[in-house]
Amino acid sequence: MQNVIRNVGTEFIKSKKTFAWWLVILGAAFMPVFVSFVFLSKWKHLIPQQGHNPWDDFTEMSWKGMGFLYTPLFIVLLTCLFFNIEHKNNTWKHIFTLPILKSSIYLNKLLTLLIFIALFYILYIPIWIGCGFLVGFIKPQLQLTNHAPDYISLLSLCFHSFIASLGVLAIHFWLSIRFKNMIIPIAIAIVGGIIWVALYQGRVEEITYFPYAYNYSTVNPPYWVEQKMFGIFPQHEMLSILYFILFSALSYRYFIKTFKG
Amino acid sequence: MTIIETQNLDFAFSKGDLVLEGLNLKVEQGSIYGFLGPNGSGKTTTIRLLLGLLPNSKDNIKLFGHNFKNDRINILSKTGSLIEQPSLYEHLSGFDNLEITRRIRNANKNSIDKALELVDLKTASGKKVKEYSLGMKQRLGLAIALLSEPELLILDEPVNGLDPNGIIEIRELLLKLNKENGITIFLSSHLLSEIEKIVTHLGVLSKGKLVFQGQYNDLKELQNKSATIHIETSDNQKASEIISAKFQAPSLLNSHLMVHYQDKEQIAAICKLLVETNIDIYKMQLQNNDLENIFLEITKN
Repeated sequence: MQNVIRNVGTEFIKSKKTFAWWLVILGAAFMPVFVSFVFLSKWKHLIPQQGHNPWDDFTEMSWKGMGFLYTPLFIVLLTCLFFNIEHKNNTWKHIFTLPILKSSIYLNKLLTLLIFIALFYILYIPIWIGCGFLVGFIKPQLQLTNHAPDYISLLSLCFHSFIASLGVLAIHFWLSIRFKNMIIPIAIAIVGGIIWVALYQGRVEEITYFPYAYNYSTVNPPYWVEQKMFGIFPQHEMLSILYFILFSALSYRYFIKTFKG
Repeated sequence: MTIIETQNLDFAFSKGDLVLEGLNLKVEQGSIYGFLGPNGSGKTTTIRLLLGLLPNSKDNIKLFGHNFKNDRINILSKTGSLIEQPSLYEHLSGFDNLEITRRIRNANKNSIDKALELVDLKTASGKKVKEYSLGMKQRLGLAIALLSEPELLILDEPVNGLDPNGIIEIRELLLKLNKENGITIFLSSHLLSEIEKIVTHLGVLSKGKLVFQGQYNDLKELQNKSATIHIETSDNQKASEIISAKFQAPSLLNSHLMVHYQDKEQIAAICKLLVETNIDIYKMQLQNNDLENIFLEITKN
């Protein structure tokens, strides 16, 4: 365990002074700040009717924005930037001549990336709450300060969004090892994003099998697809976990057997 | 004790295109082994194989007497390496670069200060690596290789691209490490002149084959054996007969004689002999037989 903490620590040192940290901070702040601007500029249309919690609208707008293309692209970009540290500096050959198992190198990278993504959600929560109350103070008519957000629902959304992101994370973890040129994984993500929007617009049932759609499906489940549940997870989140296992196994095998830096 | 040993090491990047052929390296403990060869002869490929950076299906690489494939972690924990240009995180400081390796190697915290002092980079350790000169980067790469006080240093062209001062500094540092810390050093270069002052042993690689391996003095002996002088006289035939009577028979070439000699006294004696027999000497020209030419000759053949 001590080894894992020490080695994950080295990954965090490597990421110092890189855009990856800014991406996490700005990424967590972007959507709450953007929605706040929308609320402040369109406040007249957003004054809640009696008995309605205005935080529900704030939540819906924020999470639909998050789930649309934002979270998958954030994860893709973060994964690319994270691996680009080694690719750009040509440091794989140094890492592979150190007394550390290749499997440990792989697991440290994966674990660090998962911590980064968790950090994104951890930062998102206070920023989102802070933005909501700030909007409430600036425009009391929106009554955001008179109500409280549904904290349980907020935590639940963060958790399910994290699970729904795992599939895309594993796919791009593999792609980022496979291709040194980060443009390729980003281009694949953009194409993936376009395809899921087309699948959504076309009400295609097979959208359940398309990992780039999972984040939005968590926030706004496609009504034309029967929602099967597996314990606390809807079908697409279960598939996200399966994609994660499948592509992690694939990238692990590639990293151990073939990848030489 | 043999620190590095390879037995009939072959390697091909694609089928049938052998980059290394039947390489039998032997590096003894405490030696400074110069691994020489022209560009593209297979030096870096050999080093990559020694460090496990290229796949090798056979069990024919041994470091510290252990098979690399079976004892990789143990071997690498005793080995420091620098391959081509040092691998550095340019956006981080020199200190952070060392800290990353220190943590992975689980070395003492004060090992960073020691390594920085050794390569004379203490004052620049807080600066970002991208602001370093090539020489500083090379020295930082060495500091990283030295962090865990290795028993073996494998260095691929460590003085490549350095100015004469930088080359001297690195040379002195390697000599110090070898003498004071007893570190075995395996270093590659494509220029004999860069390393001839420090090596105790040499291996010369040409087109993937080891064409010479032995002590540095063995190469010097080879140099003496190939020392020649070209002499042009008024009667080359007669001069050849006179020289043959007392010394090794010269070769009669078109306009001159090629005479093998052992030392400068022998040249004076030949000169005297010819003058005494009334043969006019028009030209006496020593042929270049420095080690660089010997090296070129070996790799050419």
